[in-house]
Amino acid sequence: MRWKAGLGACLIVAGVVASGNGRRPAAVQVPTATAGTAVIEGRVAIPPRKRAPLPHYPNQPQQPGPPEPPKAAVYLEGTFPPGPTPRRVALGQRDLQFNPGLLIIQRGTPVDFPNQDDLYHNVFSYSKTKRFDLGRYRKDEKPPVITFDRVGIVRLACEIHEHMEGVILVVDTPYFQKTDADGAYRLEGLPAGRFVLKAWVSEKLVYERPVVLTPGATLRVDFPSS
Amino acid sequence: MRTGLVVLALSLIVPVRAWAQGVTLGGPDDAVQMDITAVLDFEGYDVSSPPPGLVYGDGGTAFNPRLRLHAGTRLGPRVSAFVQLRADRGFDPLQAERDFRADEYYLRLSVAKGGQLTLVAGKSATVVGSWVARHYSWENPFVNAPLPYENVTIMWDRWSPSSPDEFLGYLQQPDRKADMLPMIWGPAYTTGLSAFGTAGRWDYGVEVKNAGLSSRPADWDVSENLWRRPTVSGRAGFRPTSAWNIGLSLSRGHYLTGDPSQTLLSGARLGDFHQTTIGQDISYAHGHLQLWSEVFWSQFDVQRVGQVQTSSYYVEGKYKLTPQLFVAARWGQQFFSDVSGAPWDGPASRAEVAVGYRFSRRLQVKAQYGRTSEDRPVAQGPRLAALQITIRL
Repeated sequence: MRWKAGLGACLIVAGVVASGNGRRPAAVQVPTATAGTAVIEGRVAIPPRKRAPLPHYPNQPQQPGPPEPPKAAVYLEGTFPPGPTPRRVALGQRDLQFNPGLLIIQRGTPVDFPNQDDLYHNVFSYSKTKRFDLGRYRKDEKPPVITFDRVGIVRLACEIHEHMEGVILVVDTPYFQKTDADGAYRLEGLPAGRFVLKAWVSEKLVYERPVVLTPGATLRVDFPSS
Repeated sequence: MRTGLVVLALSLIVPVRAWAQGVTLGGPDDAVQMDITAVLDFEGYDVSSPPPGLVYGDGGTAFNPRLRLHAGTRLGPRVSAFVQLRADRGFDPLQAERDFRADEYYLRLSVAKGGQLTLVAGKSATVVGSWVARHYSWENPFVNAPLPYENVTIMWDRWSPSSPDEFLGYLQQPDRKADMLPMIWGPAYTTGLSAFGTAGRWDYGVEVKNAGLSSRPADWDVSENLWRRPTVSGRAGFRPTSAWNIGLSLSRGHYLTGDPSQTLLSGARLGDFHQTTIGQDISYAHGHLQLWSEVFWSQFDVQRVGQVQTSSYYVEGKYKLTPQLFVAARWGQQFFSDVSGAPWDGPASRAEVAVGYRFSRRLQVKAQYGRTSEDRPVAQGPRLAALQITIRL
């Protein structure tokens, strides 16, 4: 796709700086709808988060490992032709943490919650977007697959291990990506047109910017804008 | 109590800015971290007269608000301090008195990083049994404790009978319930040293505390009896799978308190009279179902009466009907050995049901109804209905 990007002309909307700095982006989310040739890359400023100290659980040999570093989710909102049914993804529990701690999925995506620890977990959510409780299950058990059919935030927790917290961000677009720990992202294969680019950092902090994409163009969008 | 205030002060020096979440003060290598949680319980009771269990007074209805504050301070990688403060009406919701106390305060040292050995010094819940690990209002499916932890017998701790007949005569004195003891007094927040840890599928806990399992809250603080009644307890647990947890507990200590000069034979001491307890617990959990059961046998040395025994068990189950709605049921019984050809207390049985709903991770409502049956001349009333609203701040 990169060779196509080199052929396209760049048209930038107001407030958006177009540039290609050559930095290696985070892993690319392959869109499932009609693929285009536009690219958006940039960086999201992720404020440091204070976390409570990890607890020590008596009477169990395994203790919590460090959680995933804070990351953001970037996604392109607009009107897209219907694509294929989203593929099943997994959100595990490893070292007494949700892995990944932040998952961004398209609406309608089925999610597995495999237990990768040698003790019980009990994943549940009281979020309005999706309420469920998988009960207690072992490493070798397969809990029910949950399909997330509403857009919004799903806060995950484990009934046994209070410190475990995870988030699923359900979006209504096939174009999304989670940043790396530095906030860098790169969305490829985007269609041309007018859209809104959003960066979800937390429930209280969501950036958004209107963008116009043209075939083969690479757009740089940082949040917040400098 | 003084010790508790000192530890409390140590814990609260740090966290002035730390109410809602952990706070790190100092450099990353010597971080001092504080974690505070506050829990509000609003409880309503409707009980028979005389009320069953650790509820006193004349029965009727009562409202009992409670503020519980947990403050944990990490003083480095291996040392932490913990305080649990409560403001309520004490253990008896029918009392119209305000009570503010430190139920737990201790220092904890993690000797082995993998959790094989942790030492605790201070006032903390007993290691005996399995209910203590889930006795807080958020984790307990019921409002009260299982039968072995709160059914009051005729065992007195401030008075020794002059004969077996006088001992059995306590059965006729319902208004003296406040002078009597259960087999195990709730979580038994006694003071002393504890060690616990985990090794593979095994876990253990041992403690040397200042009072017996049945001792009343007034005796739990170290300043109350100055180690005149040491009690040694322990529990060994085994988890054959993630679903099962099996434990065996032992405890031997002392239960008498107060001034012995008026009641004990010449030359006898409070420490001459023991309470010995053996307990076995088993629990199972899978999916939305959780089951617990414990059985205890306890023997008391009673002056001029000899050794008397009691045994008690309960079976409890909880099932989540939906992510937020759960139901629970519990059945328990208690039996007593013979003194002068008859049981020294009336056999008791109790059936309880509860329903709970968690609106969020911070708000839970539970309702409970239980009926107790006792075969004794002056029986405790049968009914206990309770409603509890828990808010985690």
